[in-house]
Amino acid sequence: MIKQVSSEFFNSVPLDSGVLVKNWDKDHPDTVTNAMIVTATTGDFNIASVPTASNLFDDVNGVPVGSKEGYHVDSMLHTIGVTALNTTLETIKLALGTADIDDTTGSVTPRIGRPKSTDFVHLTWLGNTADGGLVAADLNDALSTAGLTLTTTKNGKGTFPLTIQGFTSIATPNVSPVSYYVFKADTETNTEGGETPAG
Amino acid sequence: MNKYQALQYFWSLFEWKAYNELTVPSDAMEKNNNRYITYESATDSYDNDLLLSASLWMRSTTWTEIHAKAAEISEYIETQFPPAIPIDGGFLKIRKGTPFATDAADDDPDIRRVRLNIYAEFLTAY
Repeated sequence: MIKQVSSEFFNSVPLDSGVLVKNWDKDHPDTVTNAMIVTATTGDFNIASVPTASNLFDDVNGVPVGSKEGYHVDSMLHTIGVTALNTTLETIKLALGTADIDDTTGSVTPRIGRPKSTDFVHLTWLGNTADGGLVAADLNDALSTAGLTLTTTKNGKGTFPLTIQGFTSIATPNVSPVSYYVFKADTETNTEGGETPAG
Repeated sequence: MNKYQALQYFWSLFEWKAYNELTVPSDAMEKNNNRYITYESATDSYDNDLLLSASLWMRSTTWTEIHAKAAEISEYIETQFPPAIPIDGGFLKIRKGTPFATDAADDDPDIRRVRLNIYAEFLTAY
């Protein structure tokens, strides 16, 4: 009877919600400055890579339905979702996706049609694991696909959902929109000073 | 370290002597420069958040210093304490409870007490 898991199981458990940052450098994963943080958030992050698949052999006579040989991933949707708190020009533009900031007037104007290359941003979700390591979901060309829905409430905080999707490029079709990273802690936390309680 | 040592370790991070609340010496105030911490000792395992209390005790005629200590502990938990600390069999995760700090009365008017609440989750299999 298997009833217990090894203590090693807990090393890689992500703890707390993490943070959404811009311009993260995977070669310096621990370097996160306040300026990199996109927005304060509340609640859960939802990081998803969801495939759309078909089975090429399901209609072939004599082949069982659902064969692994026929399974084909047609596409994959990569998203980061969270509820954001900060209403700045940058975060409003981020939520709108295709929009233009005018610093002189302090405005953000939505735009329809094809996105500009500058609409796509490099965004990364970073989270800590129990053993002090780091896990990251890195979107190279990210664009909001859900628009802006700002909800405010009497005596409460205004929030808006943020859904960021990673996009691939025709120019680099084999480059995945997302990369997931797991970094182990460099050193063990020195907690050998745990004295036995008195009494 | 075991779970009990981990709680002792945590409450000993703040420069005040920390005691399991069930074993506080009668001269604790005098021995420790008129200030110390007592904490509730309880343990569990994975997926069970424990609400644990502790108290800051101080002999003083003002609340200033004890409030500053409570604020220091609050900031430490939020900004400096690791996501979890390794213990025998896994990790201990600590976060602030609600309300985090509450002033409490004592029969002695020169005793100041602040009750603290934390959530502790022992990420262990048993």
